[in-house]
Amino acid sequence: MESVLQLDRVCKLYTEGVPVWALRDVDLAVRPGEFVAVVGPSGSGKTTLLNIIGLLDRPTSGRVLLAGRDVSNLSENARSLLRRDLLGFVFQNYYLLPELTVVENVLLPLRLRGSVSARDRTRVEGLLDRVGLAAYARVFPSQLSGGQQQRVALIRALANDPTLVLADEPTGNLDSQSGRAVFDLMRELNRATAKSFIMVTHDERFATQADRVVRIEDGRIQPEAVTP
Amino acid sequence: MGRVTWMLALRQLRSAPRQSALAASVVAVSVALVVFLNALIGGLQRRLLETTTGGIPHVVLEPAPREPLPVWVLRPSSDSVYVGTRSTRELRTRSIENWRGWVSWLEALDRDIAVVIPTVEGPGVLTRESRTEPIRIVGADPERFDRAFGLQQRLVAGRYVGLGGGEAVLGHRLADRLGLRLRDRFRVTSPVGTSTLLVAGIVRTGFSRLDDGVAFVTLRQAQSMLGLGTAVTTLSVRLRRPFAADRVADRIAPVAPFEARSWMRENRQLLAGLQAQSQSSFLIQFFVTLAAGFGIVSILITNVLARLREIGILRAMGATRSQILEVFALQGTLLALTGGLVGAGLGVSLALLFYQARASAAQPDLEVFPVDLNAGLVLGSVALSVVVGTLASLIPARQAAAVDPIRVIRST
Repeated sequence: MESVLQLDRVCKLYTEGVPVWALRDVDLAVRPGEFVAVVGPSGSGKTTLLNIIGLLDRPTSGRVLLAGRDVSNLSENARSLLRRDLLGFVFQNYYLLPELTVVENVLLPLRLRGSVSARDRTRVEGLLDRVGLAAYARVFPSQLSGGQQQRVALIRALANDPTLVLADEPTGNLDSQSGRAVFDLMRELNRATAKSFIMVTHDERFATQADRVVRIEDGRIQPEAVTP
Repeated sequence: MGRVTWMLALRQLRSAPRQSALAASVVAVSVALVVFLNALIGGLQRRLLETTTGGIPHVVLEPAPREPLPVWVLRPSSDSVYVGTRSTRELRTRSIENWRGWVSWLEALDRDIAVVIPTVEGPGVLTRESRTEPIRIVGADPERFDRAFGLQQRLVAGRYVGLGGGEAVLGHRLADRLGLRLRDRFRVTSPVGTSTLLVAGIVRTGFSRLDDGVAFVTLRQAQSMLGLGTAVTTLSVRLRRPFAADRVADRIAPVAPFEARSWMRENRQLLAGLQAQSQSSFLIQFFVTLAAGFGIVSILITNVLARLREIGILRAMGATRSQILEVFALQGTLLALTGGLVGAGLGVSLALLFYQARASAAQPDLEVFPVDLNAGLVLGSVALSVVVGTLASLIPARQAAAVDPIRVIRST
């Protein structure tokens, strides 16, 4: 089956100050519906990897294929449009827009695309209902707990029906119980929607429950160790 | 322009109400000032113009004086040639005979020409009992003359429109000095003879030249008093726009046998003063508008800086640079529009408040501050503020559009 994402010998060199190779010859392929955990010590290149996959940064060399398309050298505008149409983001600090209600936050990726169809709205409201937040649709994010906010962020990441969801330490700011709930929800939605997920995490408990764990050290991917 | 950018712009403005109010007030104050200053200066200038041109024609056409002729005189006693000029100035009143044709020609000539009044003007001496006063006799068709100068509505007594032969309307100061009242008789001696006239009206024009020493009579009466037959001395032209005078005069002079005098050329100093006044007022407005623009820039820059992370997230979610630009430019436009409308209201209120002030109870018609308010000024000021606000907001908006999501999302 064709990969949702494929990285071929991707390198990233940071030239500001002392030159640092953040990624060296990274090869990675993610299958449709796969849940990949990326782990590694701080400064190992996890976030750089996620930024390059998320089309927020460009590789110094190598090739990135997203849904079969080479996206390594696209214009800024084309990358924005691909992020909007193919990717969903979940951040450690949730990053909901404070002046929008829960349902407005969740529909924002669709609104950036144009108008929101009745079908989209029903689907997104169904997702909110599924994570137990339908009653909070008209509430502003500041009135929600951290765990609730992260669940809203998760639904926002899925709103545009993306091919790939990128989560950067999604449980990092939550207590262990809320973290567990958010992770379980991600896994559940991953199975239910067949979307691929890439999750950067420090938490080995969650990493071991992914379909695959990618270990990264000094910008290199270490040989695979876990395949549950 | 997408609905999502409108929604985001409005929400951002609403979420920082004090900042938004501050930015809008800066614009409001500047627009209020622009409207008020323009209304006041416009009013003062209009009054000054009325005082200057209200009682005079905008363009006066008189028969062109003949060009001095070069005369070549051969002196028989020598071989030299004397080159000189011979003056052709005439002592008798120059006059226009075929004026009817010229009036219709002129009235069809230019859109700015409102009315052409064939006029007979000449000197006379008014005698009442033992007192005499030098006056100007002004003869014209009362209906036509009234259309240009509105004499009828400035009458203190009697009538002007419908004036008959042997009747005259006098300026009120002249009448007062000589103790003349309505229906009194007086004599006028002109270069060709003496006539007896009846006071049919007394007028207060507000122009001392007219109130002090003019007798208005019919055209025929003046022609007979000054011995002109059927001719007139001048064609007085009133314009729809007084400032077209130079242009109209320049258009007439080369093609008609008249000397065309524009009021503008004869009031150069006044016009220079008005222009200087307009320029200084323009400068003030320019800087006030600039200050409002800077106000919007600084407040929106603060806004952008406070929302860097939010911008980064929007960009990560796929908002394009132009969408981000729109969000912030729209905020500038909306702030300027709101401020502009409030400011226009304030400016108009302030101008009307000043307009209420009257010189004194005795002169309820004379306002201390004449104001010139019109829809063009008000709408123009609002439009200007919107343009300036939008342009000013482009600086922070471009800054916002250039935000690199990676840098702002991780810097927490």
